Amino acid sequence: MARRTPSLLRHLFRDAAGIVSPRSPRGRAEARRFVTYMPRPGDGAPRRVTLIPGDGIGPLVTGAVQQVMEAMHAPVYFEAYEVHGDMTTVPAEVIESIRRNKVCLKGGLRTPVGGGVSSLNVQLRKELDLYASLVHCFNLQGLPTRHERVDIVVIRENTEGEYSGLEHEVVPGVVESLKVITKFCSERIAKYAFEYAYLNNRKTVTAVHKANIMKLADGLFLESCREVAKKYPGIKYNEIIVDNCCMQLVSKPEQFDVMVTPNLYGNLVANTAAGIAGGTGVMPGGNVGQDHAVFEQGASAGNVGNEKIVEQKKANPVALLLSSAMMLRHLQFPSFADRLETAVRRVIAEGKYRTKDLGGSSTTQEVVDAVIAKLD
Amino acid sequence: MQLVSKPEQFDVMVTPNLYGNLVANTAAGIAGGTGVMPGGNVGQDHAVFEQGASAGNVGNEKIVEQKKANPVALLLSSAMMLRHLQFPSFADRLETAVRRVIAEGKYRTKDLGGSSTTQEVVDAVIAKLD
Repeated sequence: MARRTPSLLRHLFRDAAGIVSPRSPRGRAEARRFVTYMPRPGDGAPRRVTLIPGDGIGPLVTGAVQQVMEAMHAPVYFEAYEVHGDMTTVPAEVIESIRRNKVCLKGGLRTPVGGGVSSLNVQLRKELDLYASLVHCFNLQGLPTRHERVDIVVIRENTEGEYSGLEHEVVPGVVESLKVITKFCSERIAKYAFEYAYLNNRKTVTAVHKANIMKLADGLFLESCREVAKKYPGIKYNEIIVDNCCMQLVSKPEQFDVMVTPNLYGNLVANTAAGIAGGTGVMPGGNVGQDHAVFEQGASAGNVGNEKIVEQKKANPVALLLSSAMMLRHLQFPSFADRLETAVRRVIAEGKYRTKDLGGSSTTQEVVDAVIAKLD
Repeated sequence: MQLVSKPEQFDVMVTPNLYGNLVANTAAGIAGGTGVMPGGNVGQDHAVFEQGASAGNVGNEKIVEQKKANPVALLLSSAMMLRHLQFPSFADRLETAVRRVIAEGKYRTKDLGGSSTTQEVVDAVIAKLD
């Protein structure tokens, strides 16, 4: 997942002296990507990916991905498992499957508010130690928002912090909630963030915190970030308090590049950044650990939509489609990834097939058909 | 004959050893010269990257003396190498910079119709890096 470079893809499309195919609109040099790539023998062997359709809109949007993958004849085949938010734990066979395949694509799992059942989305991340959550929030051409030039990657610690799940009632009416921050987890998320920035030619990493209040917890997080920053002298490092950060995000988001955050702030920052750049329906993302990767809708991944959207089948598949392009890149099928991404971008730029959250009235299937039609 | 009259008809070509040598050199020649085409050799376990076509070509004494060899082919091959090593972002940056230099047309070695030295081309590429 550390290899996504959409801004550079745009460069290539602008600079490449491409042959304009008769199918693409005049003036667009996107028809053939002149990137030379020498695969190793056997790189084309199909890969198995675990698929968890999930609840609500989940099956709708994962179905969209399956359709597009088939249309592209991508060397990927899915091993689907039924998991629902009302199960107590993620079934062992599903975890086994992900451990075997190393890569999983999933829709949201419904998490009840309050009550005793812990979120299966969180459980999955902890069980597989997917310690980094990555969300890429950026303006899409054809989808104007209040802010232009938003290109933010939020890298969020995914296993501890406020999501430790350690709460107890001290005496009736008094609840203690433990936020756990460890040097180990803070260090490795900082390392991932800087490594991501280095590998993707990003200039700045911003740590988001509230260490003025949580001096020990967020202070430890900051210390770890500062330590890692020293090893990357070529990358600018700065820190911002989370409340100021939210304000800056909605007034001047162009200032942010890569942001590294503890668990809860990351959730909030990612959703805010996604919102200002076009909505949670279009931003890609995923979760990665040392050994496994699970791709899902970028921000608000646990969102299963409401009954009406599920009934009318009008969920936005764009976010999961772009996340599945990230997955293809992760599986080292960059050409398929580029084709998928290009097709999705063309559909958005054209503006004809848009679901309700983007101001249109198309159904999921109409968007999928449009993407397939625009595939090279 | 088809290569030199209607090369657009060809896409990927697979050939035995000798024909490949001839076809690659011809195709390189019609598309801009062996000084700019990238390529490499790959097996199950290893990969060796070198100038695409005419890789065994060591140039002549004059070019060596005047230091006017064309570095573009090997630069683009090294971009392939970066991609092979799974550093796609660096590969894209390198390739973009090289393409910009060629597109601009100011720094070109003799085989491309200019008169720059290797070092001038290299400096231009570095200047155009993101």
